[in-house]
Amino acid sequence: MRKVALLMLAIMMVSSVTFAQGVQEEEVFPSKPIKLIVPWSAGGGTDAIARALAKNGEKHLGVPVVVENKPGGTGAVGLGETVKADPDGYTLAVIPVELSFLKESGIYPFDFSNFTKIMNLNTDPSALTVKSDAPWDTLEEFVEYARKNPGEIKIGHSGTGMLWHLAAATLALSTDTEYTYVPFNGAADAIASVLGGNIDAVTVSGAEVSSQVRAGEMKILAVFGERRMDIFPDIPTAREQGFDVVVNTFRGLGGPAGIPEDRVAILHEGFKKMLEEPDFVQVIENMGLGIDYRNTEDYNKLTENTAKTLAPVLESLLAVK
Amino acid sequence: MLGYLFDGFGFLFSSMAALALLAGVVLGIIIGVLPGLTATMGIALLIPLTYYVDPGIGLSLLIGLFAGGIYGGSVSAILLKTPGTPAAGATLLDGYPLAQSGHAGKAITIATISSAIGGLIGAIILSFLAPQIAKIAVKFGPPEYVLLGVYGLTMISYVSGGSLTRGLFAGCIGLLISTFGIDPITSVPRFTFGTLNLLTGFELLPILIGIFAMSQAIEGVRDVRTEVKAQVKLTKIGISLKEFVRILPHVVKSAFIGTFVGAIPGTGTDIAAFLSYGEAKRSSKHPEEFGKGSIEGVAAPEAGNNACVNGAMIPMFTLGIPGEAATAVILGGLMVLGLQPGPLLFTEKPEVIYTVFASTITSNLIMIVLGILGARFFAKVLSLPKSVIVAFIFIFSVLGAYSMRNSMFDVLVMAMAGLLGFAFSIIKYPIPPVLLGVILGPLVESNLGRTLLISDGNLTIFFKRPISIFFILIIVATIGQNLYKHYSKKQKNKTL
Amino acid sequence: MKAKQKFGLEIGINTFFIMVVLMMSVVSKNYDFVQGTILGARTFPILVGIFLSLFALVNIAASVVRYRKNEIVSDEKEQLDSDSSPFVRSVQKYRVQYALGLLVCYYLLLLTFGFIISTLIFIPSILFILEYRKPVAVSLVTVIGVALLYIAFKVLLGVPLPQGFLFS
Repeated sequence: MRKVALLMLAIMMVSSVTFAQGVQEEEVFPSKPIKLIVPWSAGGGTDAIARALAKNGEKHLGVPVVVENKPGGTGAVGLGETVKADPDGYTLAVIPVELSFLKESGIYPFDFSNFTKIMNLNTDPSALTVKSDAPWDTLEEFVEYARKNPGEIKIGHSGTGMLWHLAAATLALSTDTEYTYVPFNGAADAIASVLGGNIDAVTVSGAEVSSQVRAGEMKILAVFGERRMDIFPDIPTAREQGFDVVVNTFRGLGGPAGIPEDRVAILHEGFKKMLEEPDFVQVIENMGLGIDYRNTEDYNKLTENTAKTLAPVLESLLAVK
Repeated sequence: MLGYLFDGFGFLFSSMAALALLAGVVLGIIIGVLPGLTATMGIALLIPLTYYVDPGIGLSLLIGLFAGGIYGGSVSAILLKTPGTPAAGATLLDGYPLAQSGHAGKAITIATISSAIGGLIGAIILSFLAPQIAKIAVKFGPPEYVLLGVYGLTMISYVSGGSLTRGLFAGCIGLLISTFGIDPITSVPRFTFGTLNLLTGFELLPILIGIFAMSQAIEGVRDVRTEVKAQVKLTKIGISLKEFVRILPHVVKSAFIGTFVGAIPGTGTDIAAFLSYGEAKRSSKHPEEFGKGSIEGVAAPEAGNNACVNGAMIPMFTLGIPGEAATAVILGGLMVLGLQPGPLLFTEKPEVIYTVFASTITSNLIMIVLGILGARFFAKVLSLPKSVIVAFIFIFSVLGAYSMRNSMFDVLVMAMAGLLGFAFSIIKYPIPPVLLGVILGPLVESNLGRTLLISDGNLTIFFKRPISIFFILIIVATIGQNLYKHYSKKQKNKTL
Repeated sequence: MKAKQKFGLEIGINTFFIMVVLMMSVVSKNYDFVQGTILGARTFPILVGIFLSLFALVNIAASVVRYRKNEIVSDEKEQLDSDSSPFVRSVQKYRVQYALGLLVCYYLLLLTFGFIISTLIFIPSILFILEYRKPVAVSLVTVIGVALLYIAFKVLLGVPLPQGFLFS
């Protein structure tokens, strides 16, 4: 009996301490380091963006922003960790575009409704890229060939159901052509396979192929963006060539659902300033990535639009068995 | 060409770069020795530091860290049977028995010398033949990867001990373990039972640590009263000229295997180490010593994995495509620095490339000095009481499994693997094949899927490509040689 | 360990993995084929599973034969110290079981209290099981060990150590 009483006392003490801490935190936000989860491994584009951003965290938020890599399950592991975290604004994540459609394919057990959106950070278009000695020079010629030889052209991407796969499928759907999709473990392996002549094309991001294109090893037939890429101003978009194919990846900032609005506002303000830091801009330009700040509302629209436009594409992939 | 390389050395020694390189190697060895902290992770931790310095200096730091990290893993593998990095998984097969028989110092010296020579050969190939090797490396398509993986799986016959069916059973367990998580081709989440932890499947390092280190510690508890064999002389670290001559051909051969495995994207230091180990056992004059403390068995995988470090930089610098996990991280860092690795880097910024080459060569020389100085010190760990060592292997196992991705789930996986390893040791089933299965399973499966997509389901594609025909021939030869040996041994037993 | 126990363990492990294969083939029944794939999600695991089961059956058969021929040998049992307390004797007799139990406790402690406190408890306990019981030496090993690990991981490299939910 006495043991039980002691235990009760101990529990009360511990909980009162934690409670007291809770009250203190209420006064100023943020008052302790903010964790920024990157759901990919260190070294990728998302990771670089997060780290370059976090560098200036202390300057604009008053507390350090600590990047934590939680790779695995094509992003699901890190995002799952975020969903489970307390919605107190101290756990944030860089959110991949895939969150807008991967619940349907059963890879993510959650979608945007489980998240508090803060802002969009970056947007990159997909680019249809082939080896430089390939027989096609324009999207027109490529599609023409595909029409005559359905399923013969092999397009590599970075994982079934991921955005670059859907980019290829969007091309197929909108031009009524057929391709063989070959999934790779990341964009780099797919690019290597094009260089080795094992597959014909990739639909990964323009930034990812930029060094090969600049070196003349590969050529971009069309950029699937709304406008041309800053690093390749001479390469036309698909729309300019008469094909309505627009597929962009975007990386946003968010946290678990239910972060209080005043905290979202503080975070939004702070991260927006971090996005404008010259050394951040420099890093992003070095990587050939595009900064694309959008406020919470516009980010919302972006994700909803993406989900809407990709729904028929996903359906086309799942319909045929 | 050579002039540029001298310029690279010039930059290295006239700036802070040499110091950064030294710091990188030292830090790398520490990270490598500590279980669970891999070279990849160390590089990721240090990349933000390099934002503020000259790219040449930053790169020297990272290259030193990469080389030191892969080498450092061998030290804990040899002394404690706790692989510091997956690359050391093959080193412990002979390194640990060698240390237990009283030659801990010698084992570390052999690992050091082999790592350095292997790394040096790799660095020289990188410096002079990178573009040529890269051209062959991109020819490696899905069919070739399948066959490379199958060739790797034939190594099961070399690490199975007495019974082949037990080895194959163990290998299949490994392959089965590797199929958990999202399917590489269809993206279907397999056997995840709704938990996020299993979406990526089982991580290699926790299994590796559990199956070797943890099971070893449990055995340590059981045998605590068994008398320990006296350590010959811990501080004796030298090897004889005769021993050096014996390991040298294996070191050179492994260096070439390692460099090439590194150069093809999508394979890493662990595969390089196991292929080198298998090839050494196949061609050794003393195959019966393998698994019991063979010096070739320590030398070959260490030469292989450190050569792989340099090989992995070949596609990174020439094509902008990482050859291995750690190089993927370096690549990301380079891009943040404004350097775009790829074909153009050679023409646009040759000074950076040649600083890198000078750094890779120098890092191996630093490693040999540090390793030999440290061998004496490291070996002293074994003079601690056996009980204390066992207690710390438990803690290292837990920490090592946890640190990989800060996950307590991985600690559970490690413990399960430990129990399996312990049970295997009681019933005398071989453990290394499990590991081969786990490492090679994804390589074989995902590329088989790709091959079938590319060939439209036609298996004859394997016989239409020169490199894949070459692999088929060596696979057939390896299996043939094994069956022949097996059969002739049986004949001998019958006539006796 | 007795020959009978070893025999049982060998049969048990082989059977266990056959069961795992059966379970995996049932679970994977609904793994849909996605458009354009030739190798489905369950093809490779099932193929491996078939081979695994075959080898396991061969192992079981070989094991039965060896057991019949008395080729599986028992390990000798060590003598229990008669002059110690019943608890110490039971620790000696079931050393491995105690160690495994302690590991489970360590895991739970890590989840609750984090690395430092749990390890401060774990080291002396496992050393007790390992018959290393000099009080001064044990305390020194414990404190220095925890301090070194903390410095190496947390201070030098900035890598997180397990954090209990009480302190997170």
